[in-house]
Amino acid sequence: MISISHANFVLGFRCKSKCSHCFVDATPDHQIGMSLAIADSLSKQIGAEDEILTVHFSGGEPFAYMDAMALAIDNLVSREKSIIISTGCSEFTSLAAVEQLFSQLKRVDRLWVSFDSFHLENVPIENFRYLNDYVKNHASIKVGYSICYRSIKEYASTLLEIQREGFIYDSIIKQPVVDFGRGKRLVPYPQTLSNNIPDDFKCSEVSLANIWPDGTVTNCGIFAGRNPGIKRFDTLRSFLDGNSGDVFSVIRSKYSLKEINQKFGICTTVNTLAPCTVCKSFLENGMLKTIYEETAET
Amino acid sequence: MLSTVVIAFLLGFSPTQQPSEEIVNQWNSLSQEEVQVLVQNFENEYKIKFSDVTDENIGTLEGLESVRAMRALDMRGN
Repeated sequence: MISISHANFVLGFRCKSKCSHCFVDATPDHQIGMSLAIADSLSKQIGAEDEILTVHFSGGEPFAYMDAMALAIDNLVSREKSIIISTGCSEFTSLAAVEQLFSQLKRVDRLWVSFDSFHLENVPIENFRYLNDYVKNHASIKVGYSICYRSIKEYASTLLEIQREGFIYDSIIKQPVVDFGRGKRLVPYPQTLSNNIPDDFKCSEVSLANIWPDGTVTNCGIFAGRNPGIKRFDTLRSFLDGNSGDVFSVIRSKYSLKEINQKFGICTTVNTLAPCTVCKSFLENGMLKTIYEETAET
Repeated sequence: MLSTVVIAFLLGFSPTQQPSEEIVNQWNSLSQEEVQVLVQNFENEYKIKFSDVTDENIGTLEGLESVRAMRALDMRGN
């Protein structure tokens, strides 16, 4: 049995930021979003699973899907699970707006705030200040910042801006990205790596249930569910019980990644270099660097 | 001059990897203020003096790196 400790709701693909490296190509006019029925059903299922300790809400911009997120949190709030939201702050147009949005959420344990030159192209810095003003008075909400950057200098200057603004945080996530320019597709890693993957390579521990807007479940956030070929599960239970003939068993024991790519056509648009549990194994095996170098030259 | 392994770790890459020459060049282009904020953030994150990090002991930070990697996973989508 695979232990799943973390569930991630991808609530929808609408977002006012239009980051060229976004793994779901979120845009302001995207219509795809999770229905209330799916949010209700899946959050109840997740609430009943003791092994899932952390529930994360992302998108797109999750605060653009308030009804679904609030309903899911209602179902989870009495459970012993950390509730985490990632936000690009696009909906935080005033302190009153921030207060109004958070008043609909019964509990939030952590926020990850996307603050970088990509998001600042489309979201006024005032929005981030309004959020900071709010969390100053709500110490129970921990805040971390996620910084995407194209160069070390860009990363350092963003850190300096956070420092100068006096934003409260307890952690920073570094997300180096390869920027191909707006509107250009990024290189799916199987195409990039297929000739470089050792025959005996296996992914490291997979501990994520990724819930897509249509309610299906995949094993990893970067194996984006809207891309073709990924093994999908109809229900959370089939996902959690899946230990024979599913994507986990093939990843963990039966096939090499090269064979998985060939047999199942797993593809994605990996374009950030921040290691997750799966990509960390790419990194440790020297393959994430290969992605970076090859895509950077594309 | 910092070890390239230490630079790699500071930037979020695995200490088992060497950063490319381009990344080392980017590091060398930073102002003193930029280096300072990077080091300060590193020390806050890992609770260790940056000057104490060497090629020999950097492996001990890998457990912390795993935690950071999980946080990075949390961030997908934004």
